[in-house]
Amino acid sequence: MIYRLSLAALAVFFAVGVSAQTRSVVDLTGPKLPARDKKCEIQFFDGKAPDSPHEIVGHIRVYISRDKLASRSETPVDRAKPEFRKRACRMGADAVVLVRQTVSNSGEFQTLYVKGDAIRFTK
Amino acid sequence: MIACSHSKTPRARVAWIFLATGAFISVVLPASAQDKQSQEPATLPGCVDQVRSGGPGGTQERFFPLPLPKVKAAATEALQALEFEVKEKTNDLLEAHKARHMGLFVGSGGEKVVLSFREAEQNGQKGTMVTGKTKKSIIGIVGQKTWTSAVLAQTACVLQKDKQQ
Repeated sequence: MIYRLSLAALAVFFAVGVSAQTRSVVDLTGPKLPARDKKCEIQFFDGKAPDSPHEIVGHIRVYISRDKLASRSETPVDRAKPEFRKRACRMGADAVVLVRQTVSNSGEFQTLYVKGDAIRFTK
Repeated sequence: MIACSHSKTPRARVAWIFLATGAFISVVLPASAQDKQSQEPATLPGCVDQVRSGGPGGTQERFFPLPLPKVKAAATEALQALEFEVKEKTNDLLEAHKARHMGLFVGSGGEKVVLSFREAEQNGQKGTMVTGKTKKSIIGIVGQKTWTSAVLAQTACVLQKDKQQ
């Protein structure tokens, strides 16, 4: 009995700990555009919007949380890009400007927050 | 080890080893893996904490020499960055709930931060006074933290960054 419980506890330990939890929130600000293909190509700009004419379609906030007891390595910002891509494609955007990032710690959890503006090129 | 010596079968011994490993991880790892700073809610790196507090668990106040709408927008941004879901109760009151995470031991989240805003004047300078308080819930209180200082410091960071841009 103890043997089985121990194995179950270890399984839960690895299942919860190894997997980082990703979630995202979208605030639409611009015109509602038709969604693009799920794996569409999205350009990423770091901090500064491109010079070419564009409009902001919405804001995307991505949160990646990891349990520090199970996963020691920091979460790189690149880990947030697939989620940005998925959301931006659904919004019909062409690119994402990564505007802000924060790492916060609370107990055994560390959360990486990245905010991006989804944009559409107008020319 | 005493228990182990009483275990008769190899299976029981393996089980005790598993349990001992689990106990070791639960006691030693939290202390060694997390330094004291990382156990408390952290703000953006490079931000100077200038919090004037009435105690970590109490109500805290901070003056920002900027108009109320701008400060409120920055506070909303700060709360969102720290994974709070923000609800606007009235024009001068924000209520935010922190997302919960199920952890290996205690988990985190579930705290409520209430921020109230009022126009004020300090040293002849007009601005906004923000009063904040963290409320913890009964469920998961072990993993909950006081976020007021972090939120106010983060708000200052957001305003500072916006000014630079």
